[in-house]
Amino acid sequence: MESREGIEQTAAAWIAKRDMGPWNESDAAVLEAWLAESVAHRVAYYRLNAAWEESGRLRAMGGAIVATAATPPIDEPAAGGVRKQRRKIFALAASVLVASIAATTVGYLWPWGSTYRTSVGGLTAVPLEDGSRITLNTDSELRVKLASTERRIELGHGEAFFEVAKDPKRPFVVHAGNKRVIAVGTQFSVRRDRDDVRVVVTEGTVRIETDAAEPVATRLLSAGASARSGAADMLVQKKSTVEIEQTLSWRNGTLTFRDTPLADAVAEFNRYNTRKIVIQDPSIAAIQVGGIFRPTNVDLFVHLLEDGFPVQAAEEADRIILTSK
Amino acid sequence: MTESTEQWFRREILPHEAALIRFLSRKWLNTNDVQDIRHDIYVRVLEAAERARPNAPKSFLFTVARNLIVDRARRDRIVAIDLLEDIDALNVLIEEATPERRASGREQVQRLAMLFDCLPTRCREVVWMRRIEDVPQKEIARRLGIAEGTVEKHLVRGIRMLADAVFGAPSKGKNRREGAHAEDEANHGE
Repeated sequence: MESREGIEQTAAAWIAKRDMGPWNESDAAVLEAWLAESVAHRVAYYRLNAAWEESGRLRAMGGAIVATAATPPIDEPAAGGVRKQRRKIFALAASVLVASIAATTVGYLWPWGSTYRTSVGGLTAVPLEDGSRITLNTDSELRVKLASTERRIELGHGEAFFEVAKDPKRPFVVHAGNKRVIAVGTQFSVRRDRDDVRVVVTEGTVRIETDAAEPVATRLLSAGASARSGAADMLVQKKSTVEIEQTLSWRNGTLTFRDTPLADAVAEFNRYNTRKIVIQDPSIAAIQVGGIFRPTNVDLFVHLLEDGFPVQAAEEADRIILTSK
Repeated sequence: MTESTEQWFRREILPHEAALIRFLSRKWLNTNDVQDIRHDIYVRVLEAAERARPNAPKSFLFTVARNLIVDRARRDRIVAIDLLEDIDALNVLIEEATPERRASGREQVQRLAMLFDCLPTRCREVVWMRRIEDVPQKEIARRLGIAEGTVEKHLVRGIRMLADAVFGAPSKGKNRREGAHAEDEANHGE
């Protein structure tokens, strides 16, 4: 008797062949004959074929959904695509391998620790000796020093997600400008763009200390909280798990938007690409977009915009100009 | 035009796969066994449906599952008591095993996008280019710097993995992801 594995393999091969071609009537006839041979063949084929067609709906939705999002009642997101710049993906996948690529120690500049950097569009995991793990997003830089009394991280700029190994004797302290985010064993992300510091906590509790205030202002954030602050102010919001997951979807190499103003979405894309998108017409900045995108696949994003919104894109060598159509 | 058996199977049976897999997984730890049994159950269901469509497809599916489990337990001489107990519990399970609730458009898109995350990197690349960007096989081979035959191999593999991701139990997703990452690393040198 044929094995289930073997049958599924053959059924998948038929679907692949039909998908990629060449495909003619005699192929169709051979497939028909194979299907007629046994119920087991049909079962495997029906099942795989159903999943294959299901996956194809993503393409259809990608186009259709951005288009419908323009009309407010149906606010569904668009599906995102894989980037065209293949090289970068592999860099991204390979970055799991990590440290050797991104980590450069610059001991002479900094009297302590190691410096880790990512380029625009980069994503890197940094495992630390204490068992903690840092995921570094695009265009970021941080320095690490594991001392006996403190695990000190300095976020120069960019964004990082921290999975902190428990060690009550050595707090894990992320310095971001005049803020210190202090954890013992927990998971959180810190994003810094000069004075603008954002913290999202996914597990446990962290304490944020701000130097600017006298005395030092402290604030506790627990799982599900999201804080955004300038030099002296701080806005804390409770977020749902879904929202948190969306905010942190960059860890999986995706950008997730949900009713996001075009201006914000564009700003996000621009973090990951040297070729920037520029919105020239303020009238289109507030258009709400949604969807899951590969951050480096700007082309797909722009095409979907053009398809579904009164937006026109003009591609220049180093930037893409969006105007109202 | 009357509905084809394929359409019927897709609409009435496949949506219960996650529940079925969850149940079978409690009995057989080996994923291969679970998939083999799942396949055998489907074969029996389809055999019957091709003669006459059952009135209550969901209960029919689980009845077939129950009978097959009993057969198999006998054949393998596994007469574990909890197995038989669970078979009685199956009656309850049938009621619980509702098909996937209607997901909103947004959830569907997210779920679909997640499916691709279940695939190993190279495989995902190939499937994505074929499925979403509609890139010809030759062009995929050129872009990735691999043979056309390899493109096909990745696609065949992707088709099979997608089916598990679409219909299978969600709890398995994590393992697949981990597997995928392990492979990413292995493929790094390609």
